[in-house]
Amino acid sequence: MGRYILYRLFLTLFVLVGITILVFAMIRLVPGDPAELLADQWATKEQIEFLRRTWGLDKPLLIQYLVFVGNLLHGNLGESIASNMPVAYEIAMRFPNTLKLAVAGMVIAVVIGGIAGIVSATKPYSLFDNVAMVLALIGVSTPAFWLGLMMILLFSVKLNWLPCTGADTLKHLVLPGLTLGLLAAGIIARQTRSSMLETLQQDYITTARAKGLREAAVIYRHALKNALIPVVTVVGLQFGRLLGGTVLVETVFSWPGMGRLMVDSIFTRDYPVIQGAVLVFATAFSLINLGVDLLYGFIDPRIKYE
Amino acid sequence: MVIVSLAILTAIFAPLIAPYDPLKANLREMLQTPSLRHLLGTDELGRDILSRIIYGSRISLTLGVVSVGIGLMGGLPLGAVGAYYGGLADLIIMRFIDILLAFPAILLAIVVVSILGPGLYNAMIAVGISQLPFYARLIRSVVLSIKETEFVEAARALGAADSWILFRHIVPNAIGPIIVQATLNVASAILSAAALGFLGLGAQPPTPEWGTMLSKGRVYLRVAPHVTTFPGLAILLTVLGFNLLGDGLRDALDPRMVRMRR
Repeated sequence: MGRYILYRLFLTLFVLVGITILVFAMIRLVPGDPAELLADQWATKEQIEFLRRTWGLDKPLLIQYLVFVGNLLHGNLGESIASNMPVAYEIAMRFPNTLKLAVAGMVIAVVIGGIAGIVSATKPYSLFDNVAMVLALIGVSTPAFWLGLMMILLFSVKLNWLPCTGADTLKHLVLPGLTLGLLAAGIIARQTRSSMLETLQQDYITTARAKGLREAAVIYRHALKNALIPVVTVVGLQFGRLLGGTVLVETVFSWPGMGRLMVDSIFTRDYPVIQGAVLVFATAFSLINLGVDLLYGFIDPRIKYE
Repeated sequence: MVIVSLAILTAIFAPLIAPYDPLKANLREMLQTPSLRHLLGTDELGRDILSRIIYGSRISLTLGVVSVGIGLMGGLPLGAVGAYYGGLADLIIMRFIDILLAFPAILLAIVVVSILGPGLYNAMIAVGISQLPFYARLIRSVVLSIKETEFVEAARALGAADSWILFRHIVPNAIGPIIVQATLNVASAILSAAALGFLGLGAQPPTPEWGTMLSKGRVYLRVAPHVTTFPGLAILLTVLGFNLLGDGLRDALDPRMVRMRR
């Protein structure tokens, strides 16, 4: 187990370094002078030269990268061209909102998807199962941004129950959270169902039933725990997808999160902010994956690093 | 199967089916609700939404297929070379893939667009690149298993060069399952491309791309919800069709599923 954790930590560290290289390369792949891309269009020659020196842009690539990482380690992600505020500050203001949204979506997805999957698996090919699986498939196929707009249309415009923009109260979280959650719920329901179905066919389940255990005990004590392993992976992967999905949902609901910040920055060509947002998204995703893998090791003691 | 065939037929025969020119604006008929004259209503410039959706199927299907093709073309050599040669080549390639996998697919696509700039063709490349790591891994696992078969050993014994064995013997045998998987991925590629269009990073107006149409229509959500509703439904149905086709193929090819049905 110890070696497995070490190996995973090492791998994550490697990936994190890789992410910094990609983000570093990003701005250099855009046609044009990086110093000019990092400065706003009205910047004076002196200001551009100042940026060139701060980021070592007149030095060889390797040195430039080291300066970049050095600045990163000091929490310096540069300054936003649009707002002239430090990028780190801009992100720190918005990241909690994105996290709040992703967590709300995940909770909704796990509750709805999990329950639907378990009930479907215990009554395969029943009416509930068929309806739930059709809905799950529709959930997987629905574009997040469209579902969001339809939610606004129904709950904000027609029924006037919930607000469609802003992020001040819990009420504001309902529609965007539900939009994100329903999409992931489909995948989680499908995975839970197929994993449960497979587990329920195992010999130890037959044994448990033969011992005369109540069906509920068979399902919740014996089957669910074992069926959970592949579900955890899917939930982890979905969390990453949800994090990506926040970009769309935040745009639909004008949610002041990082996804919207990033998309807005692409239009204003605010490269320091794009870099910062990409870096934070990818790092968060890698750390979540690390968490899932470690959790995996605890749930299933058979998993060892080979 | 029926939905996918319908979508493909619509795309092919778009000029014959579409009742109006998808690009022709008519400001006197803007934002009309569905009627016999315009079955799905008109948009903010008075263009017929049904015609735009019909022509849009060409763009969305092309986007889906081309980006899957790009992902496959990029992932195939990486996965195949890594699996065949193993060792350092495999290590470097797979760690590179790990880094790409650290980005949620849509985010990776956005990163690529922010480098290349928005546009229809760049969106295809972006979605293709976002799918590349997936194919590289898939191809790697398939090639790894074929590499050990007897016919490969026979080719090696005959003194064939590595590149010949890899691309003449192994890859053609690996392509079957990969094509099946690629078909399924058209669904997610269409979704990603529409998402880029919605964000304004994909196809640009006046191109009748479904995601772009949705994005333009959302401004009129309160007064003319049909402008956003129908393009979204078109995306949903097409993606659903590809997903159903994929599920069917997987069930048909997976013997375990047959056992469960019994």
